[in-house]
Amino acid sequence: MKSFSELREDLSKDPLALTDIYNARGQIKDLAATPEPGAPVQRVAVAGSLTLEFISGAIACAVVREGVLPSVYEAPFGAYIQEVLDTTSGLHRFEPHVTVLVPDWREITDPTLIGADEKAVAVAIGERVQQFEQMWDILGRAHGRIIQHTLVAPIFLYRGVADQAAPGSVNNQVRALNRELIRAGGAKVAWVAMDQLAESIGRRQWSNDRLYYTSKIPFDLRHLGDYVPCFQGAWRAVAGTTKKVLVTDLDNTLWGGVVGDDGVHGLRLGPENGAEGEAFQAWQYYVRALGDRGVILAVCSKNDPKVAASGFDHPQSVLKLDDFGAFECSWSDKVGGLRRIVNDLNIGMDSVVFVDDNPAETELVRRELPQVTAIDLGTDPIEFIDRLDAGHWFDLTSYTAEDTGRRAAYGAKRMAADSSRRAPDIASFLNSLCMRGEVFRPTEKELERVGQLEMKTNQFNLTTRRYSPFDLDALMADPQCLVLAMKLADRFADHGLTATLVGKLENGGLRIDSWLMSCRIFSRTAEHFMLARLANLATDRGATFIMGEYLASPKNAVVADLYPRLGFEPVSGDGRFWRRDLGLPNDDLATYINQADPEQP
Amino acid sequence: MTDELISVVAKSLGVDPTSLSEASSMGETLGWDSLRQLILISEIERSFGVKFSFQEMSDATSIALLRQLVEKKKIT
Repeated sequence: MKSFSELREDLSKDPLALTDIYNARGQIKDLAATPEPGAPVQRVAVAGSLTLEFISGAIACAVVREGVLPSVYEAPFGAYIQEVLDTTSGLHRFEPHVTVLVPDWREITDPTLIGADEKAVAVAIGERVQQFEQMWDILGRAHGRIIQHTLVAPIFLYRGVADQAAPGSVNNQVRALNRELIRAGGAKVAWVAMDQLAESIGRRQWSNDRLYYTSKIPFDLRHLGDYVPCFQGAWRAVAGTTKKVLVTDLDNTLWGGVVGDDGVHGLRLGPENGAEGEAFQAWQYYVRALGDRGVILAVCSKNDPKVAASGFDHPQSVLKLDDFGAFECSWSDKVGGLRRIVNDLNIGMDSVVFVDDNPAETELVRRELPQVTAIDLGTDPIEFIDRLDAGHWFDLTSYTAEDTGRRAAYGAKRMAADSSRRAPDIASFLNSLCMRGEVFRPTEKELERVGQLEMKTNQFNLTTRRYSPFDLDALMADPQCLVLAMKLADRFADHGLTATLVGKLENGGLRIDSWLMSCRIFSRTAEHFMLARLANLATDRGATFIMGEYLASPKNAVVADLYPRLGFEPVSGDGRFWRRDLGLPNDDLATYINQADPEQP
Repeated sequence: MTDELISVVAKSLGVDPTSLSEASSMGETLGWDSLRQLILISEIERSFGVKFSFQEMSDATSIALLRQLVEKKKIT
């Protein structure tokens, strides 16, 4: 039998062939039945209205490619709604970590609505969405994460172009369902955009009615390999492993030519340089848009820093120097550059996607830093966008306002970091930031952002319990629990909701059950600010001490000494529990952050 | 031709080509079940540029039968 790492290596190529997927399905099943000690096993349930064997095989391969060994449960054919609603079903007994729901347009749309008016269609769509919300709630309460497929419309029409104007046409029902389901799912559900996948392949190529009628298979199996990276995007969203940073090379990657040799005006960029120049510029627009929507951009290039930076002075350069949160140019190797970038940005190496036109560089990075996703862009700028986009590296499951503010915040962090080099000491530096903070009880609307932080915060995360929005709802309703969030702004940027804390009243004290903070606001005394507020709230609730808890994970060593730094005394010898008595002076919790608004917990 | 068909079938079933003969058939060959049949048909269609009807798809359950069908389709 193959080992997990051998299997992972086998499945690393793209796209996977149908036979490879189906063969691997059996091998993964065998491996998961008797896993190697310490293997990262997770239970994944797949439930849908049609034949699931092939899609579940592709899901198993995708999960292996993400470094997790899945134990897969396939719900009985056609009975997925009952399987989810009945909490004694096989699916619930399996206790999945992740459930994948695979509906099909044929059972979700209503053929009798074909001539119905807008109102009747809206009512029917609303009822369908409600049914899914009920299913998600049941799955969410059982502490599982949820991934669902969007619907793909059939290729035939009933009234030609007029179908687009008819609210009840099947195409419009599918469109409305996709839109409303994604809206209702919020941060609770991650989506595999099957409609987008089918359209990018071509819906006639995608569909195969012969397979549907003979075997109840919803699409042509030739495309099963293309499904795998799409699923991985959704998996990363629920696992909290979505990529956060795009690190790019410069010469022949952001522009044609070598700035050190050709000079700024010799670079091929923009329409004056024909197809190649236009393609490089379109790629720059794409990269800048990724930055605008919250991906952190960074440069890692073998160059003289001054000469490299001058490339952005090209009149056709869409990207400017301050679009980047980190700028690493030197003549040493890129592995060192990437290390400095993750250090500067305070992010994990595994949240980095690195792109370069030179296969030797991507190969070196892949070998030395296997956690980094290194993409060889090739030599043809016309293909760059597609090569990056194909991996779904930056897929998000929901959209929050903080995502758009992030680049400004990271650009600000770089400026703040530059000030820190100038500032004579840390105290005057922190003072000069003019920080304003507030700690408060999050509203229903803000819970989505809290859930997002729970999913993706790895470093400043004391217990990595990863509460889902469902869990948070329940915690908010529990009078013995305290759910707090913190916002921080400084003179460079509004960092938004960037820290959260869950406290539980126990044995006369308050235990900090979960505490996390975005790396954007590390080392700014925000932890002192939160703890001081928490101490007041805990005292109001009659607690006489605060119990801190630290559970080590592969990534949270940065907070291993947080509690002793905050004046807690060890309770257990293993570094897990820490105690700080209340009712004593808390001068040691003085901060450089000013209260933004009156507390309203 | 012989080798090509056998190798496509072997690859689709995930078995060694030398373990297959003209008489190999669904139900009697290890791994050749109704789901494998779908993979097999998909791979044969792609490799030989032919298309089977759903009746042919469910009838062509041995290497000999698959060969007859592919040869017939390739001529017409």
